Amino acid sequence: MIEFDHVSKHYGRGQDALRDISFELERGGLTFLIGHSGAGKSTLLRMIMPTEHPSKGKVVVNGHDLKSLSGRKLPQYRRSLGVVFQDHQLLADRTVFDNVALPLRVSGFSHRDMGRRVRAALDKVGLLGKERAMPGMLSAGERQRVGVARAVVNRPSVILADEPTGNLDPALSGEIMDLFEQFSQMGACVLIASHDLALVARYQHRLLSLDRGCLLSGGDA
Amino acid sequence: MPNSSSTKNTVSPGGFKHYLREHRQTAGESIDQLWLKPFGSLMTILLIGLSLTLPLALIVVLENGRDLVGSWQGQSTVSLFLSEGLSEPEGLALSKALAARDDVRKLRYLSKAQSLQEFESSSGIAVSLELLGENPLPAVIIVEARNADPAALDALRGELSSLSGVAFAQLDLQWVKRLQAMLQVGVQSAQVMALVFTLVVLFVVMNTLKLLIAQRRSEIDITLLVGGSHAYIRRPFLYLGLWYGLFGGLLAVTLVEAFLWWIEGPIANMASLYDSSFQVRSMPVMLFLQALVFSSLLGVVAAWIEASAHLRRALPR
Ligand SMILES: Nc1ncnc2c1ncn2[C@@H]1O[C@H](COP(=O)(O)OP(=O)(O)OP(=O)(O)O)[C@@H](O)[C@H]1O
Ligand SMILES: [Mg+2]
Repeated sequence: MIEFDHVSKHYGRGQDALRDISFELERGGLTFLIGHSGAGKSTLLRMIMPTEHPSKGKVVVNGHDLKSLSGRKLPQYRRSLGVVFQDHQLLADRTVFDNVALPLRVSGFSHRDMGRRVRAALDKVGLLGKERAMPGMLSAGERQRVGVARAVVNRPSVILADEPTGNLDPALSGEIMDLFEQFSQMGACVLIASHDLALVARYQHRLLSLDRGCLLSGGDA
Repeated sequence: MPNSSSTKNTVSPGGFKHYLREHRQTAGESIDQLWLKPFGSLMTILLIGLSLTLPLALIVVLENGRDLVGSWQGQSTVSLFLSEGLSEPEGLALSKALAARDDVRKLRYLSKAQSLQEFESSSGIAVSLELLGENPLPAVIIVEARNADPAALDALRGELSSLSGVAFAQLDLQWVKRLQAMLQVGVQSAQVMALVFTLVVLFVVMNTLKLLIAQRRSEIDITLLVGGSHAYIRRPFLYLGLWYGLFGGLLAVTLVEAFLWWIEGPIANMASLYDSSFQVRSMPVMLFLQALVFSSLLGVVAAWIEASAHLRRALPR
């Protein structure tokens, strides 16, 4: 489903953010991407979105070579992704409802379906009743959960999450993780970057471990 | 349930009806956007309106000028003053022969006596034949040509003046020719001006949108990331450009109408001095619509250029 083939990335003059990474993730699995700060976790996720392209190698998702996706294909592909960003990336001047509804709106959902799906997603992250709130009125953890709701509202086949539990207490973290597990059990491919090793240890899932751009374990090439 | 088929799904789930509603909503939201920054929007619309007023006013004035020249051309006639020696039957025979010509639309024969009558009635001076002894006025044939074009009229005058029995033929078209040349200059300046101000309007709208797009940069990035197409992201800006153009155009049209209303009185006065019934025409409906469509289109095109340029540069491509 997600395939990295000898992927390297270097930004400008600095050292390589990713070095010769190869791995493959299957449909219906949940995988943790671990590594210390600066190891290249966000960079790796950005290759899948894709907001960056590899300097070397290629990334293939759902059979699409991401470098060759262009025109209409790229937005179509992105609608099959759900992304939780490290810094939420919510629109400050839109309500929670509108933020969560954005992926549905761009894919042309009807108002009725949109309302139903948004409320279902907010319910899953425990924020039902906050539809009309503005992101600025929410706590950091609540904002993060809005980000999670937006990522899953479109029922994506690939879910990428960059530190989705960074601001959450253990109980809430567990709930969000359970949610991701549910999605993976229903066939989505879930990839979660985290340095919360305690949380990761609680789940028996595949680990990809990055160290200064190198894949230490979990790769299969 | 994960929706793995959504990558292949090119038909939007809501269908065409939804698409239309989406458009209506975007159009409404972009109007709200205008109100969000009323001063900036007003400045933009004012700039567009004023830029379009000048070329539009010139076009309207030229149209009126063309009407004026046309009305004079309609009156363009060749007056044939007949030789002293020509008898009245001979004169009538000549006019009969002329009337048969293809290039003559209408003619009027005035005998010496009728010429005198005409003169008396138009000048209000009673001519005493006892005093003059003899009617000094010649018989006249006033020929109205079928073709009112100055060159054709001039050729006709040349031909008729060489007929036997015609003392001389007179045509007063110098005026019309000069005016036509002036109009031509006017038309060309209007074209140049229209081009220049079209560019000004494009630039104004593009610049306004550049700022708006910069303010909504993060929104655009996120929308791209969740799968918003370029068309979807461009849409609100296109509507914004449309409103700017439309309101700017309305302003220009209003200003030009006001200008016409303002000069109507003086022009009518002047026309009456020249014994003309010429009247300033207000803007034809067609031109009115054309101006609005044109300015709206300009706004949309400018917005399209600016939004596309941003999307080409946007980080997540
Ligand atoms: N846009 C960029 N330009 C230059 N260097 C970058 C850029 N983005 C990331 N890097 C570098 O690439 C390396 C990996 O960064 P990345 O953000 O992927 O780390 P990370 O594992 O996500 O860290 P964290 O856990 O702190 O989020 C870092 O050394 C970083 O400085
Ligand atoms: Mg990171």
